[in-house]
Parts: sequence; structure tokens; C-alpha cells
Amino acid sequence: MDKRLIMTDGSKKPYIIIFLLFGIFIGWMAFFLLETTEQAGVTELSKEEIVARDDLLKGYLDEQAYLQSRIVSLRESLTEEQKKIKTHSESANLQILDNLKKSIGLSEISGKGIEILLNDSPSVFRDGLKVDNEDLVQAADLRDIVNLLNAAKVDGLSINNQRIISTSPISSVGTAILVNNSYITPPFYIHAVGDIDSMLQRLLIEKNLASLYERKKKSNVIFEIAAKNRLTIPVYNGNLKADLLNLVK
Amino acid sequence: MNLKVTYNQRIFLLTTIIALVLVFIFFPKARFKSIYRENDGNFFQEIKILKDKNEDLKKEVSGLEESLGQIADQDKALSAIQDEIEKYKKLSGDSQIFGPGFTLILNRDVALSWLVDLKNKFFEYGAQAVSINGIRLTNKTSGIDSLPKGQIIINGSIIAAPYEFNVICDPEPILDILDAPSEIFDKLSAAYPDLNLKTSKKEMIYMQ
Repeated sequence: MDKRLIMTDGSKKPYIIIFLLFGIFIGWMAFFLLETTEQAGVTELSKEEIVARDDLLKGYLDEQAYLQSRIVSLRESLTEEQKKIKTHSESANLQILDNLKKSIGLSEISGKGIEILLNDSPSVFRDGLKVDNEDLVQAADLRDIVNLLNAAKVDGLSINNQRIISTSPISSVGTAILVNNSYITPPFYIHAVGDIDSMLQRLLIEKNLASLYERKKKSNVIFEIAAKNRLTIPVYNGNLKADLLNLVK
Repeated sequence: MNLKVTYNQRIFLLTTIIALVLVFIFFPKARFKSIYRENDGNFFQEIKILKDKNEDLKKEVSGLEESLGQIADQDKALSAIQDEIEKYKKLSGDSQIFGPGFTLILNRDVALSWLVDLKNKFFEYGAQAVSINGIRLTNKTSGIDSLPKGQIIINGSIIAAPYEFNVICDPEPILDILDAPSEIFDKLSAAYPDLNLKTSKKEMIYMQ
């Protein structure tokens, strides 16, 4: 006689139900664990903790804004002082310096271009949402657009007045988006000065921005492009690291 | 030997299958998460990024103040301008440069967005210069484009697998971060299980 759980034919039915429920329970637990892992790091904070956290962030952001404006001001002063130097040899060097500044994003640029508006779906509030929420504009959307614009050989571009240069990272920490490691918040305005047709040619191909076009249709993420007669791209206001680079002479 | 499956064994088998089916119903969600292009964040990470950024900005301010001090002194003005020219030449991409760093080789084709994300991650974590298959990414060449048939093109040149990234940077801290779980190398490997992703530190990397 089988001495395990099922003793007789008459007692099989309850065990089938128990085992089925057990199987569903295991599956549900697996799902629950995945969900819990996904939520890890999102903890309930008291009002005081939220205020303290925001104050700390604000302190760093205020310092960052001050330092960025100080950098712009110092670069302007430096350029002014350099212009005062009159000798011929130094004037030649100043011309070289001026051209180099233009090529690396240390000069303001104005001209025809396009303005792209990207914004989260009007029905959502960014704070507290998961990073992969389809109603949100993602850092990847900004990266893809910037890449397309660079491929169109723009003269200069910015996102919310942050000049984008070749070394500018566009990343995210949770739902916060950082450009040049500085916080930016929606709505996102991308300004690009350059050949409008070349830019539009790339931006209007849905395949190039498949995820964004799909979310525009499904989730009402805002994505609008407008040609502009005159746009101004500000100078790069971040740090430029070159201590590991050596010129081949 | 008795190979007959007992009733109990059949029931256990059935429950296991149900459990697995349920897990696999939700598996795409888990898999999607692992190859999602953005990272989950936390408050401490936010603070660290801001703190590091502010430190870098302070160094830049100090450097500029020093240059401004030099330019006011006629004797030092010329050398200050030369220093500035040299620094910007290194960044512009107009001159050949060299420095320490690492090489990353991807043995197969990947979607263009992964190349964009890799380049972005390198700069995010402190790279000072990056090239792909010998083409340095500068303000003039940083756009990675694709042709209708899917070929990848940078600055007018078609590039194809294997993709070789050269990155001038302090290699150890960057590779430590890039190799971490849920970071971009991990995500790339999840997206392309047959991808062979090989990194090697270099004492000297040259870029045109």
C-alpha cells in the first residue's frame, strides 16, 4: 500500500486542489519577489525626512548653479583680458584660441534651427514613479535625439539651456534626469542650430525614435518639433577635463 | 525496476508545471527590467553625483582664476594663453592625442542605441576621449548615424562589427563601475547572450 499522502481513491480530490493551490502559491511568490526587488530602494519617508532630503539636494543644486555661473563669468573675463593684449604674435594666438573655443562649445552660437519640446504625459507626476514608466520622457529619449542631431552636423545644441558638447553625459538617477551631471526637469526644450532640413530628415523617421513615437501615440508623451528663425545656444558652463590627454608633438 | 509514475508524483509534476508557467508568464517583465536602458536610482547616488560634480566645478573655477591671475601679469600672459590653447587642442579633436585607458571590443553587431549608450556611460564615468573603430568622437563627429540598410556610419565612414572602443581615462574606477551588476555591460550581455564583450586596460592609447 502506498504510504504517502494519497491513501485511497476516495481521498485524491482534496489533495489535487491542495497541490494546485500550492503550485499557484509558488508562482505568485515568484512574481511577488520580482515585484519586491523592483521596488527595492523605494521606501516610505516621513514628511520631515522628505524636507531634510530636499534641503540637502537644494544645497548642492544651489552651489552647482553658483559654480556654473562663476565659470561662465570667469571665462568671459578671461576672454576680455585676452582681447586687451595687442602684440602681433599674441593676436595670432588669440585667433587660434577663439577658433578652438568655438569648436569645443565655449562660444555662444545663434542662427536658424529647430526647437523640440518633450514633456511627460499630462496625466502623471514624475516624483515617485518607476524609472520605466511609459508616461515619462526618459534620458534615453534625449540621448537618441541628441545623437540624431549630432549626426545631422548641428552647429550647436542645448537642453534646457545646458550646452551639449561631445563629452556631455545624459543620464538618469531614478526618474531624475541629468545633463552634464546637472539636474534638469520637464518640460525639456532641445534647441539646435544648424541645417533644418537635415535635422528634420532624421527626426521625422519614426524608426529612428521608435520608442518615443510609440509612447507619443499610446501614453500621450509630448513630442513636438518646430523650426525657428533664430535660436541662441549658450556657452558650455561645466568643467573640461584634459589632465590625462597628451598632445602628440 | 519499477518505472511507473505514482499518482503523487504526477500531482507534484503538475504543481511544478503550474508554478513554472506562472513564473514564465511574468518572466518577460523581469527580462525587460534587466535590459532597460536607464538605471534605478537612490538618494545616496544622487547626492554622490552632485557632490562629485560640484568638486569638478570648483577645480575648474580654481584653474580659471589662476589663468585670470596670470593674464593680468604681462610676463605670464603669453604662457597662460599657450596653456589654454594646448588644453583646447587636446579636446577639440584637431590634434593627435595619447593617454592611459582601456579598450572594449564587441564581437558582433548591436543596435545603434547601445553604441550611443556606451559612449554616454564612458563620458558619464569620467572618460576624457573616446573613439569607435578608430574614429574619435568630438563635437564634429559625435553623431552615430544609420543607413536605410542598417549600416552604422560615423562622420561619413561606415563601421561594422567587431566594434572597438578606445577610451582615454583612469581605467580602474570606470571598469569597476561598468562591470557592476545592472550596469551597461550586464545589460548588453542580457540583450545579446552570444555577445563576447572583452575589455583590456592599456597604458597608452593613441587617437587621431
